[in-house]
Amino acid sequence: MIDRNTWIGLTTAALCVVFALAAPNGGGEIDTLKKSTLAIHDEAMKTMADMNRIGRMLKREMTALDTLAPRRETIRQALGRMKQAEEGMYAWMQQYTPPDDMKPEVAKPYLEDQKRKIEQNRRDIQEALEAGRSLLKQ
Amino acid sequence: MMKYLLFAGVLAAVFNACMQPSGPRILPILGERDVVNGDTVYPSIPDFAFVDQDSQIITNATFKDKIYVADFFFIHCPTICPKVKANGLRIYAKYKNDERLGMLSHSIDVKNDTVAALRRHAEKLGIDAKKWHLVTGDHDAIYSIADDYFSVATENPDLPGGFDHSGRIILVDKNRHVRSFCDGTDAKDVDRFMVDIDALLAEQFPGK
Repeated sequence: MIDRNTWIGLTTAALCVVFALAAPNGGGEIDTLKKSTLAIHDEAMKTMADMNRIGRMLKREMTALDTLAPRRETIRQALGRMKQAEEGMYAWMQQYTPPDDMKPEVAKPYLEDQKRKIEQNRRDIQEALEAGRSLLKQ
Repeated sequence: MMKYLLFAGVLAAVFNACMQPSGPRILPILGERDVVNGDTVYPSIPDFAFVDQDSQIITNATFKDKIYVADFFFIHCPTICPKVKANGLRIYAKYKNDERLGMLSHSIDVKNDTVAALRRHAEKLGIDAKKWHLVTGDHDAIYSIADDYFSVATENPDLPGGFDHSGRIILVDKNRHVRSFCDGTDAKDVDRFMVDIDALLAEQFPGK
């Protein structure tokens, strides 16, 4: 037979286990969100390097063109788009703060917002790269 | 029987010792070579001019008669760069007083990583500008030279290479040739890289 105190102890321990398992795993979800956000950043940086390479090729072409050539203006606009996309990346990095000291209820919406912003920047960079590539082929 | 075994063991050890190459290990010169007028020409790092955290102009002449390690970073990089800097600090600590080796880190964020920002960053890292130059300069010049370094320091020479934000640290010899590189985010690969640095120092500064 188990005495009363032992029953109380076992019941308390069991309740603790139940609550621990039921509690949301905020840390794991935040970590996953942080990693996926930064992975988008890393991918966008690689694309940005390609974009930059295409941009330099366009600049070399532009310097060889007559100053009144219509293509010059087309290249200038493409380069402007690239510059904006690149500055968007650096602006994102300047304002990004690792959420290490944030409570989960603050970190989650913060990271979701950061992820949306860097996804948009990745799209901007990709589109500027493709526009530049397409222009080079013409 | 034991005598014969012992004799065989000694013979094997002597044979093995004779087969070991003598002298320093020679690192290969990386990159695709050309033959020009009968001479083999290796890729080399082109002329450059940037400005460091102490507002000093840094060119190839800064590393005259030295070998150096190079990488590309930006201060607000949230992922790769902090790991590369941590491993860079290990290289700095080991070779801090060795004048034969220099260190050169190029910021690719020329807008935000100004000379003042680089100085603050250097102070935070606790590094001496005479040893480790954090440089900025013309945006296209930095990206272009990044491509020059990375097109040689690549895992697959058959594929077109270029700067790819990978955290690579690159070793350059006295003749501007790339001789080794490592993944700057991987501490074990950096350990291997430092063995390569020692090998290049032994090769290029014999007897010192």
